Amino acid sequence: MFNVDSLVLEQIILEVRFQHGYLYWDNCGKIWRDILKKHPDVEANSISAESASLVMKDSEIGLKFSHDNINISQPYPDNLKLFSEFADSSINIITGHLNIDAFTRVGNRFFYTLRVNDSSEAMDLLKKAGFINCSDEKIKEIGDQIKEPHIKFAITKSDDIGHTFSFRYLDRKLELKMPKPVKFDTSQFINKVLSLDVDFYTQKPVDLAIFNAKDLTKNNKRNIEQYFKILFQ
Amino acid sequence: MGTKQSYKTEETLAESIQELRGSITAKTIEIATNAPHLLQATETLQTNLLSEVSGFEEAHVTSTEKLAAERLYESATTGKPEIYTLKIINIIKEYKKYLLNSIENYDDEPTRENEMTLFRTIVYEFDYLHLDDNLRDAITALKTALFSVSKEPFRREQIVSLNIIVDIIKQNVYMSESMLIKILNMLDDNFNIAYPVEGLNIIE
Repeated sequence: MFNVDSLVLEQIILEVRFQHGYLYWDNCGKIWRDILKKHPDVEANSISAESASLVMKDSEIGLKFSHDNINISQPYPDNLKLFSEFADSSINIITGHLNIDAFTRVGNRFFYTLRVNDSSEAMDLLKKAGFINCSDEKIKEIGDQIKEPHIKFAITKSDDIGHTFSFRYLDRKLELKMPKPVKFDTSQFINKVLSLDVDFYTQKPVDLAIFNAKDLTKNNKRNIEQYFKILFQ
Repeated sequence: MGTKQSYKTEETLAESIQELRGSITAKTIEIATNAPHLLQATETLQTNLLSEVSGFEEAHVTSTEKLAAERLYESATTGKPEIYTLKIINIIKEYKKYLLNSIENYDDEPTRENEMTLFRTIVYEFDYLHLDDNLRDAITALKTALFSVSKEPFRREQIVSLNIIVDIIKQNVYMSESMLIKILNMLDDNFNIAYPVEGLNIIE
């Protein structure tokens, strides 16, 4: 088992899907204007007939919306306050202009990483938790050892909500090209990790009148960290 | 009809049926209030009509049940919810039982008024929460409506309308303008929500 406090939340994503958002083509400019009024530090990334994407420069919160979904994401969120407040405000603006009053699906994804020394350590964690139960004898018949363990499964509750769990070992490389005199610090980047990717999703329509990104992300983060304690104890 | 198209149509149909139920309840209560000698017959009529509506719904409306707030924000840990949305819903659930007891015991005046006294304090629960603008306006109007009934007992239609209103609030924590207007209209129909400014001379 590992300490949940040692996990790094590398990315959070909130996505809502809806139908009949055809006013996107009429109101894209109005949406952009109203978001800019509330969040002057937002910049346009790309705007087209298919979708529009904006980004908050300092916090790197990205917003992408179209006629059938809104997607908000942030890498390495310090806390969820800024992310969820921006999500609530931008979702309200967009749904208001598109005349949307319910979502067909709500998804909230948390991408955590846990530092490990190598794939064997990741494999040990997954074995001790009972996710991989392949005996050494069977493995020896095929080769030497399992190198890149990856398991994925979903658990649903009464056809209302579900969680998809994906645990895998990653050996990542960070490549940056900078001009010669420029020095940069990559010590914060962890290359060997066990990634713990959890996606919360709804299986029934959700009324806009009960939706709150702040409550949802706060509750989901707490729940997911509790699930890690249950799954890896 | 494809699934996506049918969802929107059936949502509208389900809403209409819900409104039909509300109308049947409200109007039969009105009849019983205006013609007390027909109370029993009116109650039978109400039961039959609501039963017909349920049968129609069962036969023709497939389930487009939406996700309840309690499921969306369900906590994996024990203890009181810190989730704002659930706090509002829990307050409504706690106080709604006083309304239901009051309706059930309407003819027993001491019980009815006692239950309504307990219900009145619901508005103070919201004083400790930061509410969205429209919900804040709805609660303020509800406060005014309850204060306007201080010198006489609650009428049956007033209690029924309060029951409908708290249900609306429970399903619309993040209330739209149109839902707020619906609540204000219902309160205006059954209470005197202008009483704080009654007799005031507005100089144009």
